[in-house]
Amino acid sequence: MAVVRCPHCQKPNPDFLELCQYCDQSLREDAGPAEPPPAAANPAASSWDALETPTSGDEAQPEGDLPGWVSALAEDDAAAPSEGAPTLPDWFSSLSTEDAPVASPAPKAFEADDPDATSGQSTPDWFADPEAADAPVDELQPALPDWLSALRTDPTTEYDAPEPAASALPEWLQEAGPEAPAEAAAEAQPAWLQDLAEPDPAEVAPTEVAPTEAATPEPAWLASLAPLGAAAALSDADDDPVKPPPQPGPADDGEALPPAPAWALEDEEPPRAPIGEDDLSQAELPAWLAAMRPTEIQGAPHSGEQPEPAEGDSYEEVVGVLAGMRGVLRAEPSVVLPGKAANQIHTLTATESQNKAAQVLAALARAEVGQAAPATRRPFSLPLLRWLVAALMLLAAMVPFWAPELFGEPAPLVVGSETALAAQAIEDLGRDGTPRRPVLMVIDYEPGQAAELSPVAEVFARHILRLGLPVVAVGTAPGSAGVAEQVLTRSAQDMSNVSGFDYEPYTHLVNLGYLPGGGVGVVEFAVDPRRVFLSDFSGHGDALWDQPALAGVESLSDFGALVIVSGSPEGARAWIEQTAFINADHPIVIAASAGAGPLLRPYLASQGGPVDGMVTGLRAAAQYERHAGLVGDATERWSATGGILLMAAIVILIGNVLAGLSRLRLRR
Amino acid sequence: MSTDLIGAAVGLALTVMILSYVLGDNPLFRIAMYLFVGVAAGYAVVVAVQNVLIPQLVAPVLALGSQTADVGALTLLGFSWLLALLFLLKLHPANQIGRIPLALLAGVGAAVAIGGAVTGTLLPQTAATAFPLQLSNLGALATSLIVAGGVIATLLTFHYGVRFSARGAEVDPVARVVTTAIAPVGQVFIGLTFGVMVAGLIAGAAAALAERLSVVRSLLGQ
Amino acid sequence: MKVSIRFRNVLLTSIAAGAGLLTLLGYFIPVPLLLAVRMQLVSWATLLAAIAVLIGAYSLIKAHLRNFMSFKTGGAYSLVAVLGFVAMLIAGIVTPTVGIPASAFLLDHVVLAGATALSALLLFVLVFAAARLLRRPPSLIGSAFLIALVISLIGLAPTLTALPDLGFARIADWIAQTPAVAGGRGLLIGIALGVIATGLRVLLAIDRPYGD
Repeated sequence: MAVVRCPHCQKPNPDFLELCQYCDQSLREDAGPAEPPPAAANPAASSWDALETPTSGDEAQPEGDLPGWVSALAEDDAAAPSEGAPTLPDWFSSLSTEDAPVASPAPKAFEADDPDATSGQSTPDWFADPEAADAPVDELQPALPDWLSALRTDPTTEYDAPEPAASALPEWLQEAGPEAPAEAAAEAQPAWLQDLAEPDPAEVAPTEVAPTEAATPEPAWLASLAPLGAAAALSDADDDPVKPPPQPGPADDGEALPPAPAWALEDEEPPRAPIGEDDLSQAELPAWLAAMRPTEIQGAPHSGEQPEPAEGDSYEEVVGVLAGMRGVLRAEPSVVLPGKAANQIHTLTATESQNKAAQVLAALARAEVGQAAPATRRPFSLPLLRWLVAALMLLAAMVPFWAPELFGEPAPLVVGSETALAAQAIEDLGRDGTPRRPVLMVIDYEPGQAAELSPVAEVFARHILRLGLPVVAVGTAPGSAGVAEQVLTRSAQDMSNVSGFDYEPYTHLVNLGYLPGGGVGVVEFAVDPRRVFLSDFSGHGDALWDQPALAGVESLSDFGALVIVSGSPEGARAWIEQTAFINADHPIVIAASAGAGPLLRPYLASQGGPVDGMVTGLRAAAQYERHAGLVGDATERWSATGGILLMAAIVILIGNVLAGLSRLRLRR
Repeated sequence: MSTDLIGAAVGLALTVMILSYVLGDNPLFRIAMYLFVGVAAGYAVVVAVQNVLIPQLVAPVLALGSQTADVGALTLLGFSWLLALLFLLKLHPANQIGRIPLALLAGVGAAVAIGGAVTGTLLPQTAATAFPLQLSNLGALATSLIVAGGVIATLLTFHYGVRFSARGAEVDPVARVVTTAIAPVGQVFIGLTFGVMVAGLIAGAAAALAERLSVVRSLLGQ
Repeated sequence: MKVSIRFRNVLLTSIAAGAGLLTLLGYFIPVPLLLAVRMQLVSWATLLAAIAVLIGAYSLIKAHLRNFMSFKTGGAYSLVAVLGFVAMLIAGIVTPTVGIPASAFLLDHVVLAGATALSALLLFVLVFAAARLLRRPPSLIGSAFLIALVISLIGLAPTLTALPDLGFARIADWIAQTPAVAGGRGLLIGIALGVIATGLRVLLAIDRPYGD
């Protein structure tokens, strides 16, 4: 396509145009200057100028590539000059009328975007000043190009515009739109342009628009918009996005205005009905629009679905200037404490490859956790110090057997008085004039303490047996009952070996067995031992309490003495407390573990308690053996025990000295 | 091979396996420990059944046929059986009715403990602390005063109920004396007592080691 | 305020408190009827204590069986415990009927030997721990403890003929006779007060060891 430069503004124009598209002057030099466009009034030549992006260079397309309607434009333009009059339609000509008042300056944004628009172009009156296009209709009736005339003369239209409303066009459309075309001109209009013609008032009715057959085939896209006309029933049309186009009505000045497109038409003022849920009928979305709608939105209505019940905000503001109003934004708690949306709009949809990647990542994380090394792992080290201490203890235990001359005799104890008193208390049981009653020996220690306490229990038993008194044993734990059986058996055997006298069970010694319940069992035994033991440890129950060893025993007071061999302070304390309650007058002697001594010594008679004597530990047992002349296991084991104790004292002393020195060194 | 020799060998093996813990935790130690636990539990069951339950529950029932039954004794025997069976229901973890005998045991045990503590320990020990100031000689007097003072200081070491700093108020002078002067003295007495106790524990453990070594010596010597 | 009281709790509390109060009154009111009721309650409690041994042993063996059946680490050791338990039951109940004192054999050579060896093991632990006491800054009670420990050990041990008698034995005896008695008595009084308080809490149903 050739390009012709305007002789007036020197802008390039297609050669098929008669008028410059920038300054509206004739492109033919012999045609004379056209009416100069009011530069101030029309900073942009036309609306087209305002909207078009200025082209640079020759962007003209070959004439053969033009669409048909554009070609038609060219032909019409070519035929137009013969009429000797401008071929612009009336409404188009109004854009360049000299009577148009001075248009207001174009918006700055517009000017900035389109530099050409600011270079002496004029803004159309209707664009610049909606009030400006007040020119008579006649002035809008220049000779129309054929294509445009054809549009206006064809009264038939394919497009069945919505029923025109009786009301007039909006002001902006009245001023800018074409005037009511003449009848003759209307006959030549194409179908779509005939919509701009004034519709037959008889046909105006606020009814739902339905696509109807038209003389000219309706474009598909236009037909799909037809259901939108149903929105004409909406009374509150201002906010409705599918507001029906305003219907063109007769112009105020009586001139027929070109019919507005269907979308611009407005219904005749329908009576406004109160807004209610029943009045709202959901428009039917076209298929292509419905396909774009997110399917996850629950209740989002589309074709065929029931619409969601409308949300109603019943909250009424109570404070402030908005008191009494509904539908206002609440400062609290909606803003301050936003809640979670009830509808889950977004769901995570992952592709298969994404799922696979996620699984790989999860497997890696699990493997890492499972193979996690311990947080702090000290390097492997032998417990050499512990081994050294153990070796020293074992060595100390063997030295007394290898070199017994290194150790002296167990030193006499100041507390030996306790041991002596205990021995004396037992010895007094055999004194002449003393009632010969059996002696109760309570074995109140576990098998683990038998190494320390069985020797002292045996020496007590042997001492008592030597006095000719029966020994009755009771165990306060299942294991101690078995230990009591061993103590009595060994003691009797030892005494028999020494004295040659056979000590017989149930005559000289009886093991009653296990006394359950701790302190509760002691209470019952102290009051009625026959009720507790219906048989002895061996299971003999026939006339048990008629046996010689138990003759005359009906309560704890009937025993000649109470010897408590206890490995813990609690057991001995229970016996002491209960016998103190019954006010037994017999002597009480305690043989306790060395560790229980401090908590049992307050019960000694020398300290104001009921206990006559006490033997604590293997050392005191060895002394008792020596005092009573009954050497036994205590004396035999004491040497080894003493060596271990000495080594333990040395190790503890040296260890703490070294530890203290190292701390002092660190502090410095 | 006599049973004593077999028994001694078993005891020696167990002793070595348990003492091997000194070298570190090892399977031999664990086997010996678990064996000991199982056998000890079994022995306790055997003794409790043979020495207590059979004589007190089973034998009287068996003896019912041979002698005239006393209604009172029979009723009490019935209650004993009822309580025993209810308590045995505690073998089921979800059982609730087994709590009845447990409640009886708890109540009686608490009462016995209270009675013994009051009559056997609290009153006599308090009297022994308060009254006998031995005036026979200076040494005995000093000993009595030291013991009495030590008892009071030891008790005041556990001053849990004394408030020492009320908000905004001055510290009670009595509380100040207790915390600054008396409580430290009590701590010394307590430390000395615990030291003697632990020395006794070490002595008992040493006796056990000596006994085991003597068994080993005697076995190896034979 | 509405308080829901369950009959079961009322029953249990009544039994515990009633039995306890009757037993306690028997200490101070020597009425024959009260003494007879007290003795019967104590007798039942003693019987129940023996049954408690069975329940405890059952729980122990059940735990070991569960450990073994679940094939956890260390489950094989639990099998050893169960086998030992069964062996002791057979030795204690079955073999005496045929005159074999198997229970005494197991008591002497397994229970006694094992328990004594464990006590001996305690020696190494105690000595090793005591030798490291001063690794931490000493406190007043810790210093007194260490001094009494060393002196008591030396006092208990036999004197060496090569060394002179430094009097540790007399010092150890004095510590055991005087300050340790004072401390022990104070602890005993404190223990007695605690026992009384705990017992009263049970009798007044403040504490319910038998469950709610």
